Amino acid sequence: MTLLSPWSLVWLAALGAILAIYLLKPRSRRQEVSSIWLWQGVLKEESARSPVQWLKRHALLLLQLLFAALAVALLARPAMDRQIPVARTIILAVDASEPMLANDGDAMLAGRQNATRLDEAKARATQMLGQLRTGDRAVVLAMADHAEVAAQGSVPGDLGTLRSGIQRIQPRPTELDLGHALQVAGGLTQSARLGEIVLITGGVADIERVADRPPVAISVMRVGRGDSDNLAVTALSARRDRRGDLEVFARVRNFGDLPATGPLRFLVDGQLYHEVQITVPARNSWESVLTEFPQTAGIVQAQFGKTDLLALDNVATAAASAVASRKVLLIGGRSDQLERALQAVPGVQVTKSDAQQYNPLGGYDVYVFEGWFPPTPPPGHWLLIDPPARGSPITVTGTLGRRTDNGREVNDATIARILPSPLLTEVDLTGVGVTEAKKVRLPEWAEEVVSARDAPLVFMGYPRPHRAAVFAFDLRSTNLFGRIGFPILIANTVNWLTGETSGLARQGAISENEIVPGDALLVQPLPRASRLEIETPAKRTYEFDGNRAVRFLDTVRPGAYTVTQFAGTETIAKRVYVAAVLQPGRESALADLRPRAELSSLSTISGPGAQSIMLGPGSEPGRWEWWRPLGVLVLLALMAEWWWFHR
Amino acid sequence: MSFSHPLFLLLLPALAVLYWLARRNRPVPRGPWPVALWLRGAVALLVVLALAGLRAPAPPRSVATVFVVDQSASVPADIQEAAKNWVRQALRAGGPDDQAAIVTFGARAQVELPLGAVREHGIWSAPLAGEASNLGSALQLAADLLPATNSGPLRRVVILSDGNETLGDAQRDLLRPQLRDVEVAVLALPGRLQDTAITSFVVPPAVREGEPTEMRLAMYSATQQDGTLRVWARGGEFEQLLYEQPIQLETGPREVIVDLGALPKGGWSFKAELAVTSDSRLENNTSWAFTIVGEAPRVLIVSDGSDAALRETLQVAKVQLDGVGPTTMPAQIDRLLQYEAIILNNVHAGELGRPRQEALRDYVANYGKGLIVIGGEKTFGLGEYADSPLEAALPVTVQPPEKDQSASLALVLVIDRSGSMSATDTGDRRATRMDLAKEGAIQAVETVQEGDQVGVVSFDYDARWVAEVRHIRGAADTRAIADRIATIQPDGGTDIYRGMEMAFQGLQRVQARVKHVIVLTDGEQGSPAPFPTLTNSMRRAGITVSTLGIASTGKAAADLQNIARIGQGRYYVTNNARDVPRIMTQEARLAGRSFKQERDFKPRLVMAAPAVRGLVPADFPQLHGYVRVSPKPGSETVLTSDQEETVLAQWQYGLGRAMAWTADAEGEWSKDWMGTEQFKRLWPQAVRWAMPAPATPGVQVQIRPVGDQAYVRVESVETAGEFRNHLTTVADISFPDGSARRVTLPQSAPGRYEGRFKLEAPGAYFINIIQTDGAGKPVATQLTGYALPYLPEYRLSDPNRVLLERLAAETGGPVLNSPEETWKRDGVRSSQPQDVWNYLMMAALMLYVTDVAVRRVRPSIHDVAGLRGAAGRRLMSVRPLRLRLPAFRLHPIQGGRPR
Repeated sequence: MTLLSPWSLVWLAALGAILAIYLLKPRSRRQEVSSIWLWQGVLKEESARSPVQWLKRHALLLLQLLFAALAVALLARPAMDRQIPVARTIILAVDASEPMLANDGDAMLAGRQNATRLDEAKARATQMLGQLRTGDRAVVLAMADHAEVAAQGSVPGDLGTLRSGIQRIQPRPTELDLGHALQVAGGLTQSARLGEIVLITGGVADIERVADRPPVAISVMRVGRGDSDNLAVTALSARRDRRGDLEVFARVRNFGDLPATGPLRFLVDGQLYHEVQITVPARNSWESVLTEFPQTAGIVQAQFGKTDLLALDNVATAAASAVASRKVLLIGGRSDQLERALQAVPGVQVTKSDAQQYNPLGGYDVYVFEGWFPPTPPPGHWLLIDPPARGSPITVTGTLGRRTDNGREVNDATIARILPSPLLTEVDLTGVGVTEAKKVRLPEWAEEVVSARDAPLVFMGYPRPHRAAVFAFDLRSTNLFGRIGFPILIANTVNWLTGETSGLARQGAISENEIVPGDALLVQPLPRASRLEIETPAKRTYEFDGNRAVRFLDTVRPGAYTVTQFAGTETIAKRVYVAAVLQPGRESALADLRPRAELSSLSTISGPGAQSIMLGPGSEPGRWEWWRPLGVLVLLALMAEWWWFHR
Repeated sequence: MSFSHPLFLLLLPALAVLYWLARRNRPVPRGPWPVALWLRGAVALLVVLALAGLRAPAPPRSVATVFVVDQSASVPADIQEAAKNWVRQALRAGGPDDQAAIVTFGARAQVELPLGAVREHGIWSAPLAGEASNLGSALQLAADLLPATNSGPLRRVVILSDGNETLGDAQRDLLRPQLRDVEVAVLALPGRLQDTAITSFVVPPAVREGEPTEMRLAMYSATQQDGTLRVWARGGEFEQLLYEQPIQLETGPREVIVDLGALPKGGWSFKAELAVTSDSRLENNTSWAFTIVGEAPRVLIVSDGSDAALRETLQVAKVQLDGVGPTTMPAQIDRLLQYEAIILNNVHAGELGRPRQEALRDYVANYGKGLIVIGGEKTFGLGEYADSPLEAALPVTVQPPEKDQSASLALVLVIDRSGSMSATDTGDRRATRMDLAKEGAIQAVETVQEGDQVGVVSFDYDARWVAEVRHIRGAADTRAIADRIATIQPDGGTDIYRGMEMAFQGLQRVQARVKHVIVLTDGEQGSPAPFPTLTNSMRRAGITVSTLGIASTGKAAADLQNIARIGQGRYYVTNNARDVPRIMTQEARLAGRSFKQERDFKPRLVMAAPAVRGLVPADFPQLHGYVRVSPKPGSETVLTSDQEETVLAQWQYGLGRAMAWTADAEGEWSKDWMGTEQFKRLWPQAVRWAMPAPATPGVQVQIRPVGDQAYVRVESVETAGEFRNHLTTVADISFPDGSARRVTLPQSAPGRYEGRFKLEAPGAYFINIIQTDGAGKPVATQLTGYALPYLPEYRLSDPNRVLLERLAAETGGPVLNSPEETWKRDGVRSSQPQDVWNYLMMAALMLYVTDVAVRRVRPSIHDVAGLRGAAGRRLMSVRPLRLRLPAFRLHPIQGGRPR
């Protein structure tokens, strides 16, 4: 036996306290009583002289000490090592992804009309609990784009917990990542004596994404009738052409075996803008590009108005908002090219000034300094070009450039490393030469973008509270000006500084405005913003006062999230983010609700070493804490002492 | 608030039993039972709640940690082992309620140890394939293993990695729902492999037939050693060892440039291999690159025909040439777009006309094509380039260098006021030639700068000063002269000679560094006059003469041209009087400036540029003249004269490139260059520099790796910028092993088509994009490529501490220094539902002792009052407290029984 919390024995002092209380002299007071009472007292005095009565006389004290001792023992958490009977470990993996909302679930089993596949899956999982044997451990796993343990416990003790865990599973409008779910399930069964995974799914998982399977038995339980009657808006995208005119591409796919006809409505900023009656041939697509949308359109929504198995994918949303306007203060401006490149960035207003007239209070979003830095960092994001030797947050330790080394001319400012960075998107630095640069130390807050052999040349980071980028050279000491990549580099830098390019777009996403439903939306306000408003697809508005980054969590619902930034009462930026379920090129994997035959292969292929861990029912070493039985004793001692006191 | 064992709440009736026991003897109550009863009831309640497992918000009392251990190839084996030992020590340091799991990761993540109260993990599984680092995937798996949010323990992930992720995006994954409320603690694994590698292998991805190509190989060596560098080339069935040289590697980087010459048309892949004696990793000693050799470029030469040598040189360099004259050059942009570059060889801007110049400007700026302007007597300042669309596109302005700008000017306008100037053939019936001449003269006067001198002579049969030569010191002077000009009325005949003679005399009397005369006439000299003698005299006196003829033909035109030639000025002729103000203004602006420099000199090389690659400055032949220009800010001057004035300049203009050569190509000024090796290298290289990279118009293909796949995005637009929609787009992919596959790229947005294919092995992939319309008719094709040199995991890189520390900072996690810190809960302020039985039991114990004390010591109201009095005496300055006594009844009978 061990004590898991031995330090709790300090509470034994409570026993001392009780004894100390008894050492105190009881107070005597003058009190008139009847003579009979006095005679009773004499008799008691006589009986107390008998030694055998000592225990009886001090029983109250002993009971009190017993209570205290038991309570202290309980606090010390006594535990015993013992063998715990263990049979199977069953993972009930319930698919909660978007296709599980298809309403072809077994109504009888689920006990409700229009039951979804998820309703049926929950009912089947609950049924499965009834088939478990004593000693079995069960884990209920809700799986969608990630896997989450909804409940776990042993049979029969934790059956209630397991049932309520199953009922608590909520659908998630995302794609099922079966590979990831199997990884988690595999981890949970890794040390099991006999593991088994039961996948309860609508059968639309993409087997190709399963890199490897855990070495335990896997069985697949299909739910839903497996109808194919589903149409989905599988693509909706809005883009502006060179003239700024908006074009919208939409595709509706019919996954069913019969042609489908219905109205396709286009809503612009919530208002019906266009409606067209379309017929989509069986197992085919209808697609079109629509033009002549209003210039001011911010959110475009397409709704296909025909009832089918899955309503959620009959609606798609696209963002068509323009870039935010940003104010840039250029201090220095040694060359026209930099000013021109800044002016060419969409949405940027450039003000040029010099160091003598520098006024940080102009409400700028980005400050660009060339060869100079103010005594205190500016109240916005900043780009420092050619850091001065003194008076900047960048430590300059020397210069890089052409020099003679052992009679050989070398240039230690030459670019030696180029790292992936949002600053270099579409920028080709091949052939870019740097003749002279400042040798600077990479600050702790920064990460390299471009480096010479011994020092960084371009770096970026978060020197709190704003973002910053540094070019450690005078632009005129390079041949950047003559390159098409230069204005792109400047545009990328301004966009990254102001959060237009977060660098956090999911891989394969059409734009940075797309997020996965459920993922947090990270909003970095412009430095002059004093308030943020986020409107959800449910038209619920959240307000955030002050200027701080916001990690917005209420993003489960697919659709448009409009982030508006204010400086006082003035709207300074409006950006629309779309929580989209569909990924480009993978759209059919989600909206085609037919069961995938290849899913069955999971149950037939046995994993490597599957038998080696199947040891059958037995027992495993475990630890049993018995403070609860002690707690019952404590309660009994308490009652006994009270009874004795009142006896 | 919740209960983990709610069944124990069935013990609550025990409270009723306590009450019953206490009330049993109510008639003769003993002791302060109401107080004791309350205390006793509270103790019993606390014990029952503890047994029922009450959960209430409190700071976490335990930590559930998942160790995420990097087993990718970028982490050296000894560091991986040290990381495992670190985890073992951390496991041992855990508390009784702490839980731990282990996830290892490389290209994918796997559970090494599921979550549990483990304190030992001796034998680790076999390492994962470490050809990539997918930190984000490992983070997600780790988070999924942790107990649910609000389940009690602090949820923590401890990353032991070098932070060099090559797959996924860990920072992005922090936004995933399962990573909410998870604290990421990091331990940056140190070290970098002592490795020798090819760090970069660059070949231009697309070149044109006949274009010399070079490859650049950058290497890094951890030690000083000898090795061998080999490069193989493969194109179709052809494969050969292209380069094999021993190489001495110093510690550090080294670059090798290999000249490939001009490659035949088609796709070429290159494999470079660095063989060394000592190396810890061989995977990064082999790298791949590709180039696609496309069609020979088409170039348009615009000249008056004297360009034979230039044509021959370019044709030898496999440039397809078309030639036109300045007046026959197409003005429609779509006709120009078939050419990759346009060469203007000694072309006067006036001959081109404004529409063609605007087309040329757009051709460079908006369509990314190349423009080369070769100088001569009709170009730049001598060819009306000033303020023209053509000048806008050039890297130089026509103004001579600044040192001449300060020269003082004396300008005399000699204006014809003969009767013919009253003609109204100006396009505006209300304006006569005289009106426009006066307007031009006034504008010319307004053009001159303060401090310059201006005079105006008008002539018919005779000449007279309209305004004597005077200094312009402000607007008043300008206005005074303009008022005088306005008084000129047309009448009489034409005697140009008299007008010029008067101007000559007037200018002889004034002091100025530059003296210039502009003669404007619409007629012919009425009587014979010795113009050459007069003009030569003027020239000798430092006076230059320009002439402007309105509808001048025949002898009149010849005379004016001759005067301008001898007078070293410019000759203008226009059939449209509406041009007069513009020409006068321009001429006034150029007045007196010396645009031409005729001297013998050897050009100086200022900067290395592709146009002069391979040219040795010492071997440059002499030039004999050039047009003086000034470089624009942002342009690059490549060659200068001996007086440091621009001879060759280049710049990026909009999307395209432009170059200016201020000497001529094959005239008097460059006669020594013609036919030389320098000539043969300069012009093909200049043309190739100016032209854009080979690409199919309207199609842009982007290929980037996403995990083990290549993501292909095709942007397709019409020439005017409209999106191309509803095209069938396929990518025919040729894999490094020679196999081929077709991938369909469905449309995903207006003008955008996307798809993916698997990158199966390092090497060069060639991708031919084919777009067809609904009828199957080809719309666009483009051959492009993608080189997977070696897996990014094998790149030489230092630990990415910034990423790791950012992950920690964004989740409020610590940067760990010791294994024990894994379980630290200091500073955790967040509360979440916890099992609080121990706090309940502590409270119960304390209340119980109080209960005993109350029953034993029996405090009375007097005790409390006494305490109050004592406190009051002790704290004289403190106002006595008003104690609120508990609402219990003190019994008068205090028993004498021992209790």
